[in-house]
Amino acid sequence: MNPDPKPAVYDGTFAGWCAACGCLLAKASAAPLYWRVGSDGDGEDLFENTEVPGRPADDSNLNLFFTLLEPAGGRKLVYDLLCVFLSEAPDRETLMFQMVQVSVALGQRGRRWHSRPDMRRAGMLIDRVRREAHRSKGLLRFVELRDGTLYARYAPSHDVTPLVAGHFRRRMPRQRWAIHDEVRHYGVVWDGAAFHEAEGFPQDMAESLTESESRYQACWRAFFRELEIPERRNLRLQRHFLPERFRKYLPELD
Amino acid sequence: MNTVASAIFPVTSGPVSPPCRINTLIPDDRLERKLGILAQSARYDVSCVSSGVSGAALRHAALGAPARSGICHSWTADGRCVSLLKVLLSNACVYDCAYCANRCSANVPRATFKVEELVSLTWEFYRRNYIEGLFLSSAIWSTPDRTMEAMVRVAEKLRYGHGFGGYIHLKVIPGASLEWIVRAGRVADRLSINIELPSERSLGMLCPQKSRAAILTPMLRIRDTLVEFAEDRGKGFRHVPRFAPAGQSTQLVVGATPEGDDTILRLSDALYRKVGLRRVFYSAYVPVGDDRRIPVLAPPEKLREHRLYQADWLLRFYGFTVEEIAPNEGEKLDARFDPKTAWALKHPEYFPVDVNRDDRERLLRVPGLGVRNVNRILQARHFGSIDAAALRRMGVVWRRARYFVQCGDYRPPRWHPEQLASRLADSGQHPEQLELGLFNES
Repeated sequence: MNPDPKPAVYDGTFAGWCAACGCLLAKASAAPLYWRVGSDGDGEDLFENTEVPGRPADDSNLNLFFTLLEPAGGRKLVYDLLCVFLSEAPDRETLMFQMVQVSVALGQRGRRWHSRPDMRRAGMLIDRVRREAHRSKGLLRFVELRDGTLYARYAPSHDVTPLVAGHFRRRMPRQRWAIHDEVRHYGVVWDGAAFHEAEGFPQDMAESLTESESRYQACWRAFFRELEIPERRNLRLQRHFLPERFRKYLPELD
Repeated sequence: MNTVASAIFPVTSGPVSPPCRINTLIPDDRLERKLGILAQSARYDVSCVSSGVSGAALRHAALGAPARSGICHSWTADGRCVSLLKVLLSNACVYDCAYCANRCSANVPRATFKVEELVSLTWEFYRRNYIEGLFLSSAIWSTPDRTMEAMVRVAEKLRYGHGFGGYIHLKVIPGASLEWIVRAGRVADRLSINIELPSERSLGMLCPQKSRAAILTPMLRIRDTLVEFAEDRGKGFRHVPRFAPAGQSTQLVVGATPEGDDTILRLSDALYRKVGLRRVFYSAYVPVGDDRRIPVLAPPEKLREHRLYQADWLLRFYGFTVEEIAPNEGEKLDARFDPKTAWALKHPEYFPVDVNRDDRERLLRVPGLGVRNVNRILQARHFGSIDAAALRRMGVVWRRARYFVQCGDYRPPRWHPEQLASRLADSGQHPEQLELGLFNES
């Protein structure tokens, strides 16, 4: 018989959530009442009877989680869970746990239960995050700094930097580049071999750029301007594809 | 670092690698002007896709890897996506095609890129994430072979000289020899030859220097070469070089000549089936000169172009045959409805379709259901009966589909084709839209 449901605590990371979920699955626990971010050493515990099942360092729970998920969808399921996590939806942890439960019970096809409201909502969140990541992959703009680093700022509607950074690692493996999420105030740096935590970002952009940067931006603007066919002008469609949050970073719209 | 990021990125403190650099030019005003001229000359080429390639173009490429689904990097004020550095190598043409902006009799500024200039622009634009790669076409400035050779040299310099792994689309010059076409295919992801005009009669009238054979012969050669390379790979030969992995495409101009949409669709269908084309693009004709052989059209027939794309999608992904959707001889597709709705209104006996019982082929014929919707329905059927509320949750365009489906306790209202036609036409069935979701009904 399943124990009574309790609230669950994890450390706020995706790996931490996976470890917590692994622990719950191993104990065949009922779905938690709710999830919160915290740790067992973060002061007064406001939630009595809170279960603190895992931390990212707890590799055994993490391994358990991935072992349990292997027949239920494996990497694809983990990727979908990550997308729901990155959506930053308030009910994301609950939805993710439901996705895992359905997948473990029904196998790989469980996630395709599109007529079920929670699975459909998870599907919509996955679509939104993937769409934002895809859009960001196209609309991110790098500028070249004096030290040769390519630097890009953006303000995505979801926390898609992990997905976007993986794309640019494949695309520019031997360049040094940095991506800065101005909404969530963090960034990652790829140095040609590994990711690093970004420590500070350029404050005065005009001072930091190479001489050729403005010339290439001017060329890009000239190219962009001449591509338009005036007889087909359709600004509404352009606005539809180019959301406001990306526009201020696009040199062609300066 | 953000908590999510720290969980996903392995944060290390290893040695920092020096960036891979090549010596690129610092552009001056002259190069900027040249780029403007040659971009303007290329803007009537519709194709700007970078999809259809999986894996890296080069192992250990210094820069660039194509994305399978393609990526759009911007949208111009006319709403068209910008994905590639789409330029001509030169716009100094010896031909005099009536519909073309670069014909030799046109009074436009002329320019020609040097190899280093184009390589620098492609490389630096790609590093800044402006583009997915290069789309290179050219006017024919001397012989087809010399023009093709110059284009191939640019692509080879990028691929082999600098290890560029991004997308490269090369136009094949009609009349170029097979040797240059094969060399182009080895460095390019996609090759294309524009047919432009849908009948030999129109071609003879507007492009007297081009012939049907000069266009179709290289297309068929590319098809045969693609088949040869695929067969060699199928035999397990390890070192078969890649050859145009994204296949070949073409473009048809719509509205410059009197052919109806039936001619255009039948030609497209034949190109997909017999020549193995990946894409046929349609371009509503925009008058670029005062040649008397060209009809005066203002504005360009964007809605007609859009309907042709919808019909093209039905041919490729929805199991329709060209006989089912092509209009009568010499006519255009119905502007009021998308071609699937137009077909459904002519075939009331086919409906309603039961979403809980009918097969994929029948579901795909329902207006308001796209390929993605149908996949979701088929997957959800494993878990129980689907009702109307579930259909709406799945993203079905209910205002259209509700006349054609039945499910659970839902039965569609009885309709007469003419009444339903006027109701659907009144409910905004004919927007002037050019956006076309690949698998979503809109």
